[in-house]
Amino acid sequence: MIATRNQLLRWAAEQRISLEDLPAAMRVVGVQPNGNDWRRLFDAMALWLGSLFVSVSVIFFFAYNWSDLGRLSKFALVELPLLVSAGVAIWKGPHTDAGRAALLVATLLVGALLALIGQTYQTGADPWQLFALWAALILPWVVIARMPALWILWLGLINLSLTLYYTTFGGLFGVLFSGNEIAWVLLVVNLSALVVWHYFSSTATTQRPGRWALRLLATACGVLITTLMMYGILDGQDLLPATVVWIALMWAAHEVYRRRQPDLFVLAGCVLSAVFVLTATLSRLLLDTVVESAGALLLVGLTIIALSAAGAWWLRSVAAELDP
Amino acid sequence: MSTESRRLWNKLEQSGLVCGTEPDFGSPVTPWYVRVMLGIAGWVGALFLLGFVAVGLSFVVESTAGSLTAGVLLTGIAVALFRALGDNDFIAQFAFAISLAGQVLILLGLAQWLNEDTAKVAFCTMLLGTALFWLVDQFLHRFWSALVVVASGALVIGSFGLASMLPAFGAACFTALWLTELRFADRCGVAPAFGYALTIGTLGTVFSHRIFGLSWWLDWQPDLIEPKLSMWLSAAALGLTVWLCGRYLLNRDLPVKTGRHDLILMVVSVSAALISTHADGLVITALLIVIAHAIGNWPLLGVGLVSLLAYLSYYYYQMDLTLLTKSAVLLMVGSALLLGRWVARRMGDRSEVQS
Repeated sequence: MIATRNQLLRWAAEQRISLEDLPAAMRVVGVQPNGNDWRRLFDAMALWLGSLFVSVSVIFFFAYNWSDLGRLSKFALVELPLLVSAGVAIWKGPHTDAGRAALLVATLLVGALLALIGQTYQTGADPWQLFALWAALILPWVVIARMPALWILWLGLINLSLTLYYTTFGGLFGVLFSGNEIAWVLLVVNLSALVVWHYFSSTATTQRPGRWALRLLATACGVLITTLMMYGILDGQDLLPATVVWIALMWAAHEVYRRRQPDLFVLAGCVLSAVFVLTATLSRLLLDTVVESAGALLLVGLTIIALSAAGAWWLRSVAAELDP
Repeated sequence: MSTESRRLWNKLEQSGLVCGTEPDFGSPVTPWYVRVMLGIAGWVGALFLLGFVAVGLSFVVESTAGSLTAGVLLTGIAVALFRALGDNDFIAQFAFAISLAGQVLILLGLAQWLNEDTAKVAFCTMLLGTALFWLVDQFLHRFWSALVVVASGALVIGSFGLASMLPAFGAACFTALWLTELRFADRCGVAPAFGYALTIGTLGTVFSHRIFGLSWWLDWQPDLIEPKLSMWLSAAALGLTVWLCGRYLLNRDLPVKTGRHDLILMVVSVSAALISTHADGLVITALLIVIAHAIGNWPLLGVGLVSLLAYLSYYYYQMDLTLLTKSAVLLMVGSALLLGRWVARRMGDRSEVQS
């Protein structure tokens, strides 16, 4: 859709379409919505935003920790909406929009309930345990709903609980100094999720629903492996395994997203990763040997420019190949 | 030649909206994520070039005249390269990086020359950004120049004690621009570049009620308008923006309007104004989502959705209101949305039965 829109704008700039006819052109090709499109949008916004706001309001309420409210009332305020939303999900069915929205509310309220339990009974549980338990409890609903947004929420909880675990047990300086270990673990988790997601989804086109979630996962994996490579190059930590994994992932990304399920978004991420890694390598080689070398900084700067330009040229040639 | 472009051309030709020979379709339009990649890499390259200037030509950075001269020189070279050889990927990226480096040097020089008077530096930067916006016909550079104009413009407005009005003002501006984007389509890239910059700038003011981390400076500026009055003025402005946006879209997309549509629009506008007194980010991000849908701009829609979710997190930590108040606001808005949907569906079912 955005490509169509941009093409029409380009033709308008080239005066192939008059400015007076441009709005009509946008309508004809379906860029501008009609009455039914608007009804669908407002219906979806009201359902999903309404559900999200109601469940988040409950979380905010319990975060306020109103001491005047009795224990029983507090539990009723979270358990009743939880039961109602689960009931709506069963009644409407997990594959309808209303059913899925109800499941979203229920999954968020489970988190509120766990937080309330921890708050009320002072169990001494660590924050990572709350998120881990939350993820475990909502897993059946996430599987039933088959909704990309819920899967991403679930993976987000897993990532958060792992990060908090390492923050708690990772040593005196927490994340920074145990950064490599956390990054490796998160990379394994998110990469596994990406592989499993690809396995269970059928051949996808760029416009297929859920493609955004695959791109988000791929981006997360890309950021993690690039970070590990930067650590390896600049600090010397785990350089060999990071290099092996980085090369393997770049090759795999090329195979999958260039040949089998073309996706320029992921390829653009790979180009950016390559720019960062090669720049870090060059910086380490040049700036280490000649301290404060202005020439080295200039050379690195020009290299970044050349690499990114070459990457853009390659991406455009791939785009032209995919849309002959 | 692009298959998709040819299909599009044929469809328009059948509708009588285009005629004549098929255009030379040329290369596909560069996707937004390729531009983002180029933008990030360009900035990193600019930082290294600045490092080169700072280390190798330190006398330039330390002197006001040197910074200004070098900055103007680099920026001028960049403009010349864009105009002469801007179609070449390497030249365009190189020019972008040296333009960024030049602008930073100019900014350093201005700060030294004007004794770090933020308002004056911001005003001069706004003029520089405006000039570069018009001189360089390249989307990425134009977007960056627009961002400079928006950011510095916000600081100038803030210096007059009007910082609290920035989110509402920004929302009104981006609404007007995006909805009239097609009128500027003959100047390719002008409206989208400024539109994205306005959108990001406005979201920046929403998330910090300031812009780009300079809240420490704006906090020292006296408010021209009393805070409560400012809150209601902003609410009125947002409500009016929602109403005007709704009227425009109703006229554009609904061939047959009824009094019911006008009533619903009025209720929504008033509700938006009231909600914005406690959660302006919800209204502004929702407005952005509606506008993005109206113009078929999916990257903008993504920005709206992500910023709405991010605002919920930001809202949690906002110190202006208690969590109890925030919970009440979200519960009322959420319940109203669900109730409104239920009512709309009932009314829709009833009119189907009647017909």
